[in-house]
Amino acid sequence: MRPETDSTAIWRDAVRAAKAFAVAPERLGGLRILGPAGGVRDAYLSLLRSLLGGRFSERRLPPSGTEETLLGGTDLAASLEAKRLVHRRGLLDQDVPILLVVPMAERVSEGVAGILARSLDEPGRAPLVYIALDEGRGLDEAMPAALADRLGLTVDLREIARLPCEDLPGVDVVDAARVQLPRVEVPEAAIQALCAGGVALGIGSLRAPLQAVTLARASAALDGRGLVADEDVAFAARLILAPHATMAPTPEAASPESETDADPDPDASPPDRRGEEAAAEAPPGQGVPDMHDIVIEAARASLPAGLLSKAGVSSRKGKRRQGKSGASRKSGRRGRPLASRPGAPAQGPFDLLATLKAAVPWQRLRAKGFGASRRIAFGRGDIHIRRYRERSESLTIFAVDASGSTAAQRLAEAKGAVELLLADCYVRRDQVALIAFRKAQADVILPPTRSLVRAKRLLAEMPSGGGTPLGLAIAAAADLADTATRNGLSPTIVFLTDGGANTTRDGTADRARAESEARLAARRAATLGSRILMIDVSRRDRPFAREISTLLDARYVKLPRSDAASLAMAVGLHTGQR
Amino acid sequence: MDAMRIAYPFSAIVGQDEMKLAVLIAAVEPSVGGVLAFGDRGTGKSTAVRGLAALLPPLKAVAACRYGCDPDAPESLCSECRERSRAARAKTRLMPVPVVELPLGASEDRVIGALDLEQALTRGVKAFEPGLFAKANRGFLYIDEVNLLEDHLVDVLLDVAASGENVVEREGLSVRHPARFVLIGTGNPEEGELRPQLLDRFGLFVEVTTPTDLAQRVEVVRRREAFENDPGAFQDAWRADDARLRQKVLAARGKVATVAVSDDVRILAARLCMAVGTDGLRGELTLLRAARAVAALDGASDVSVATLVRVAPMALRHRLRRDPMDEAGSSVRIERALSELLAEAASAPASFGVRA
Repeated sequence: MRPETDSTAIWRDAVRAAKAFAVAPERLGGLRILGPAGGVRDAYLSLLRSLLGGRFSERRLPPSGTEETLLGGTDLAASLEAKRLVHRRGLLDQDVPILLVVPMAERVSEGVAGILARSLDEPGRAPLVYIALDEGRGLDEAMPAALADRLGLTVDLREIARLPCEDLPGVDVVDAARVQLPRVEVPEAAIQALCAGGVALGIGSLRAPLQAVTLARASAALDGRGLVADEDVAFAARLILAPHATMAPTPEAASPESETDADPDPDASPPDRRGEEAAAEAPPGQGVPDMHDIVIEAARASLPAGLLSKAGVSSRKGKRRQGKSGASRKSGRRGRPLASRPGAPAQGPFDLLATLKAAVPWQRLRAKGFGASRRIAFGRGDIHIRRYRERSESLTIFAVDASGSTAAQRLAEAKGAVELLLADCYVRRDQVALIAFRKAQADVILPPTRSLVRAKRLLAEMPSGGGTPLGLAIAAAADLADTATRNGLSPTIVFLTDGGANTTRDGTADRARAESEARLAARRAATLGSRILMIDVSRRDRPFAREISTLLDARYVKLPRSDAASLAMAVGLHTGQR
Repeated sequence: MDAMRIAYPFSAIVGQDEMKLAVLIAAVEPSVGGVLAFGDRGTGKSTAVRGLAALLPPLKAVAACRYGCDPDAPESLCSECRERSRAARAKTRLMPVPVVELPLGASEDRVIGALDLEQALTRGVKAFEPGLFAKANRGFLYIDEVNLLEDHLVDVLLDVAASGENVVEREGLSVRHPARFVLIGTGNPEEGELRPQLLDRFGLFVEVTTPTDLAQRVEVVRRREAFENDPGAFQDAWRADDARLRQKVLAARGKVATVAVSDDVRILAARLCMAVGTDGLRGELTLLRAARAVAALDGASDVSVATLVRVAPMALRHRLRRDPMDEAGSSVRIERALSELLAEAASAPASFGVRA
């Protein structure tokens, strides 16, 4: 199904994307580059720079960038020095066209992402484009949605280990294409195909198809053509639609039956639950199916791997995050006040009183240095900022045994409990996540959320049946808890199982090995120091469940006949939330 | 490329009828108290607000005023302008209708204003540095992802939006200045919900969904593409439509105060609110205000039942008592109640005289 996806082809696409981006940077808004820091990415960046040919002045967002870094503010030190207001310009507050490089885009805070996103749309400002360097691995480390939605064009350099030896394009081709761009004609069929492709891939936003049309236009302009052709549309589908896909265009890879269908347009029927299927199929007129096929095929070939197995569910088979320095969220501007500390106002709200207090003892001494011209002489070190201790949000992770015959009932209980807890979350602002384990997998069915709407939708799709890979489940839950801790949440894990481990990591039914795996995972998970609750729902007494919960340093509760309400209550009691 | 970006024409927006109607109502009758638009990303929520602001005629403002006071409305002047107007007739300037966006990470200082640090430290003067509220005066304050905003900020926002005045009492400052703006909040319910206590303080609630009809999606993309390809020409093509709409809004503003509401319509509104179980009187008030604004936009001299039916979902759907486990949409409940009431009224015309 996947045509050539070797690194040469990927690189060729990437280079073409760079050229197309240089043709219409303002219209595309930006470019998102996936991949680790390294030679390939550096080479790509310098290619982009040379293609843009100095039309933008480049800035780089410091990783610690705040609202003030972006929008500007008072330069306090300089203001004190000059005795007048010295305004420091923000990175976005410029009159010249700006190219802002956003490193580590997956760690950008929601607030900064919000400003970046809004600035792109703001009418009446100088041109602005972004290059986001996204080093995220997996779904729990993604760029904030507000930004990801606006940066359609996505270049994936992760599969390229070495730079292919190829001549890099020159600026002249870009210049010619820029002139050609507005004259390119986009056929109706191309717009329809890209829009329908967006629907089939589960992309709700209309920005993606719009940018795809623009990219197709730029691609045609690059070749000096006056009409968007099939290859342009396919290119746009690969680089814009595929990376934003939230579901595969056909259920569970491609089912072979659909190929034998007499319908010349099998791919036009996406597995759409909301009845958009009919809309996708009906309107395209003659000739459209061809282009529509092209879009779907192109997108399918470059879909993120996880999507093909199960739409919208992140499979975490043995995937571990690399240890990154545990930056948590900034100490907020709310909560219980702590003592003020010296610091720059950019780091927190300014505390005038504490600043004065700090300056007062030195006045006599400083009067000599500054002269008597000032009533109060301040130094940079006097400036104090207020700090607050914020109660960190709690995250309850349910790891639910979805194995075997009784799974359906237990799952229903767990789902009920999740929904009950979520219903309370309006008030408490806490989050809930759910992992289901069965066969040889432990899937995060519900990534940390406080949204009831989303939870209900995802819970409805939960699968069940198969063996019990307890070790895998413990590892996955610990993993999620670890990630959550890094994001400033305080996680509690709730295991809901009958306590048996009978399936190993690789899916073989070997009780002895499965149990030793579970012990190992439990010992490792215990080192995280999260609160853990083990709810044993089996009718019989199993010593193994007790053993594991001791290893986990968990509290063990036996609830053979649990229902959603008592489950929610047990969790509430354990986490001290009720 | 050096051309400054221009706003996408309001009349060229495809679909999103409810969102467009809601912002038009707010532009005609700001006292409805803000619009909350919940729904998918990339569906043109901010485009609608920006387009509408660009369509409205520029405002006359006191030239020296930091809050953009209206020289022709003496009762709404800020204290500084009052001082000035006592001395002499103030110079005026024209300014476009402001659209201020509140970034998600904005601090309280930045929103409500704060002590002017520079003046405090370098000259020892206690001065007020206006925040975003001041900037948004007489225009729109647009908040993306209002559901992710810190709760205390949302409290302040709603309070100021309702009172039309920003009162700052902090750091030894005591300032009050006019802050009359139309609050537009947006959000995606998939990313967290707004505290229910805050929900019903927004006047209108619209659900914005990405168009599911392919033809409509194609049309959105086609127009937007044409706009980006040549913004100037696109704007010219829609200028006449925008001008017509501007006239409609201006006429409606002049007329809205005189739109009559018959007792029948009032009774229907009250019965509807009782039937769906909204808390308090705010629902009825907003419902009638919104209905009057729509009637004024339509050029009608009184509110018809059809108009009331048209605005009822957006005025009421967020005020229903809700059970978090209840899946049934609130719009459905309102429509059900409406059709029952109308059927009842039709069968007993003598008692109410209400006809759909």
